[in-house]
Amino acid sequence: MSSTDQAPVFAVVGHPNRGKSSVVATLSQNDRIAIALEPGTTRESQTYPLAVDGRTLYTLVDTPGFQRPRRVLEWLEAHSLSASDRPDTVAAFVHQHRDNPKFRDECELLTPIIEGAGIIYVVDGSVPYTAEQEAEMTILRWSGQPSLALINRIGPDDHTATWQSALGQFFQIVRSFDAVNAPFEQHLSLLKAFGQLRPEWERPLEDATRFLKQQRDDRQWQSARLIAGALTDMMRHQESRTLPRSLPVPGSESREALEARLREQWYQHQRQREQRLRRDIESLYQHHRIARQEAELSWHHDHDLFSESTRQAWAVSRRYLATAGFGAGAVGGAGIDALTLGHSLGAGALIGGLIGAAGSYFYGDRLAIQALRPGTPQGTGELQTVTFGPVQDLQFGYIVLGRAVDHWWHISERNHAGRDPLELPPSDSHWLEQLDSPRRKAIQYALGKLRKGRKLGTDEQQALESAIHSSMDHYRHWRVTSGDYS
Amino acid sequence: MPGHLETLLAFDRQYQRDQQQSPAFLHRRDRRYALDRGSNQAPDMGHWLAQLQALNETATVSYPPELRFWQRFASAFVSLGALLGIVTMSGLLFYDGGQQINITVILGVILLQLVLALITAIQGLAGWQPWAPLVHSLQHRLEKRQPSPALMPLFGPMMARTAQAAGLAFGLTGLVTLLGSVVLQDLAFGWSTTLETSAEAWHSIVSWIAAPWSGWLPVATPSLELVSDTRFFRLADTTPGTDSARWGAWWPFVAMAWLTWTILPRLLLLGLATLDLRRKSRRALRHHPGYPALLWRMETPAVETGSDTTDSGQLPADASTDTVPVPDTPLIVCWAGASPQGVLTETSAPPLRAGGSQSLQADRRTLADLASRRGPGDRDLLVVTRAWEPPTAELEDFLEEAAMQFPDITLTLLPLATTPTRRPADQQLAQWLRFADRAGQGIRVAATDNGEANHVQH
Repeated sequence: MSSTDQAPVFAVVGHPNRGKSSVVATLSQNDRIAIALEPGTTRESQTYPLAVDGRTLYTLVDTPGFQRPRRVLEWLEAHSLSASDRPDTVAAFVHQHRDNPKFRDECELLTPIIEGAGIIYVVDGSVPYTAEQEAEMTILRWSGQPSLALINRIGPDDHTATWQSALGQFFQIVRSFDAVNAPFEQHLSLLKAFGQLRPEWERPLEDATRFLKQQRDDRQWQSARLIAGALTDMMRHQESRTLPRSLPVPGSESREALEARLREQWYQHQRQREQRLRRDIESLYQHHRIARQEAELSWHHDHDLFSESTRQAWAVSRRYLATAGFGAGAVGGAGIDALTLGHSLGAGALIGGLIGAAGSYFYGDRLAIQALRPGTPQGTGELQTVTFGPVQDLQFGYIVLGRAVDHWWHISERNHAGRDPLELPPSDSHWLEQLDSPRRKAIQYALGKLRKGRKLGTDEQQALESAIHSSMDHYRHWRVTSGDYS
Repeated sequence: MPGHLETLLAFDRQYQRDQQQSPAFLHRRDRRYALDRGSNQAPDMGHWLAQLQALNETATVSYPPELRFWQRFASAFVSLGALLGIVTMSGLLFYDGGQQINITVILGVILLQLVLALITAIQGLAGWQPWAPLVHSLQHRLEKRQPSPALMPLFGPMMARTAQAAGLAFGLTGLVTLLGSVVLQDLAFGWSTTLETSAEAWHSIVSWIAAPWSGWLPVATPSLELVSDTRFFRLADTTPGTDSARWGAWWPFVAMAWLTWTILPRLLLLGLATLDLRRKSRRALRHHPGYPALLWRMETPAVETGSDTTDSGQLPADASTDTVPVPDTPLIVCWAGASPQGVLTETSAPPLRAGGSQSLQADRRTLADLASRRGPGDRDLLVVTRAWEPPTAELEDFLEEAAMQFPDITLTLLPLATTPTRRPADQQLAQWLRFADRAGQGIRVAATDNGEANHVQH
């Protein structure tokens, strides 16, 4: 049996265009809610239940704004004898005017309230408080339902303090909430505040916040897997073409043209794969309408995957490459020690480490892609498959990783009420420097193996995912400490 | 019920199909399955696949298409083994009435079979695949496709099982050929060797070989006398003193040796290879890239936040009308606290007020005051509003009452920006233009020009 009947319902009400829909959009993680609709176009309430395994924990109801509050209040005052009959009078108003087109909006917004919904009254804290909304607040107070006022700042000005003192006279709880910019922790805190409106609502709201927190943690892991998958694909990718054997003769014009064509296809594939990763991450976080500034990729674009400015921004230092390369090389060299049952006294790990460090230092800083390579002749020997790639540049992997984690961070911190285009400018310092040594080695080792076109084993793939997950934590911490948290 | 290998391949097919589905759908589907099954039951891949097939009404694949090549390959390999068994045993028992069939050669073949069986078993267990390129190219030629990646880690044990089955077929047909020859021909066995060895030494070797059955089948255990009597030398014309029937007394020993040291090891190792294949299939399933994701989907609660609901509204179309200049009129009403200060100057009387925190009675008084202020030539009523505030139905009501009271007057709205002298943003003006369209009554919308105050002269 569904527990919808017992789950608390919260009617989000207020004056038209005060940010009701943006609050609902953020809390329900729904960017399909049309925000800033003018009054008179949204005439029906919409419900947004939060369900876990089919069990509804709470429901938000987005309602039309008050259109004729003074007329409603006039009717209520004319039909009430004492304070005790006010809730009944409000219900009577709805029953009386249910079919009256003049009061359709009021009936829509009051219906869930008279059915027992908690009231979330939204005001715009960026405009000064005026007494003109007192008619609405009085009607809501008459309903007798538990209520919470939410000061949602839409514009740049801040009149929160005056709103707070005024709203305190009408509502049990008054909270400030910036629907567009509030961090996730504030979403949870707000939901907990909803639960405080009635003792029996506390438990479902506690459960809801717990599940939402778990969902967020899970999404970070899933993002790490998606990024690891894209990184693996992009590092190993090679373009191939089957041609008559005479075409790719070294030094010939046709060979150079072929190489240029395959190179361009290789670039194109990498850009498309990166865009697919972007969409996957956005879809994971339920963002369906994001306009990305880096969407139009081109060779000369400043934020392009292969532009020089991108390289300067997201590449790691040579020192980083050398130290991580030492660790990754040592992992490989330790295999020699294992084969000799330890008789090489760790020399294998040391030599492997030194080779790894030197290789990473000298060769890790070039955008080198494995050039055109003819394969073995096929059939009668007339045809031959030539391949281009994979990339030999370790920095390419770090650039892809850096851009992916940066995009993930923006998406994970973005509220669904946000409508501004997503800008992904390159950053000026590299956060990977803060990653601990084992994680660095895991990433370096994986990149080193992938650029040889080899597959990662299950354990290696998991180690890479874990390292990326950890690097996401570091990135978040780096953003917060560097003051870019917005 | 499908085996582990079939389950692995069915899982891989489902995994490939699921790549096209949205993660949210997959999570709902698999979480639902886990909840229906109960939290205390571990997920069973076979059951999960069967349920999906039942729900999708797809027929259960009796034999996975990925295994068809292997089925054909194994059949051919086993048939070849069976044929070789007949040929080999026929060759070993070839007897033209001249020289005896040498037991030493038969024992050598048995030993070779045993060694081959053990090498195959070790190769299968270790996963060595020296023959893999040959088989893959054969598959590519026959089926024009590459083997399924899910099968890659299982080629070693699959090949080992096929090879052991072929060895078993070899042994069985060899035994049948031996028994057939015993019945149909008069076989003369003997033993011969170039090495300097005595009948006692040879007897001890055959006794060791016959040890598994000597206790309960003495007829198949050669005696020292039989060994002594049946030694022959290639260059000797005859072997005096030996009864002709003695030469045939070896056959029970040969049959039992073949059964015990060729067929039984192959049978045991075939069982071992089958178990190894099952174990590795289970492991391959656990290491399949889709497996941890499936377990995660089953174990993690599906949280739906209402993000799939789309609301009813779409942004309305742009208004077709445009703004008009601010009319020159003394009839001015400020709606809901709007102030025309700095925009409309030199008025003879303060503007009237309506809406906002004012009561409806006060609004009606405002309309009455307008009637008293109206001069004979006044044809315009200007209602000043805040451009950023949304127009509400209460304003519509007020304008409707004004239109009823002054049917010959033109109603003009003047939405003002936060800086009244500046023209409001187009987005803000648009909602007022649409409101005027919606309300009818011939209502117009005026806008101030940037930085310019509108001087109303009287």
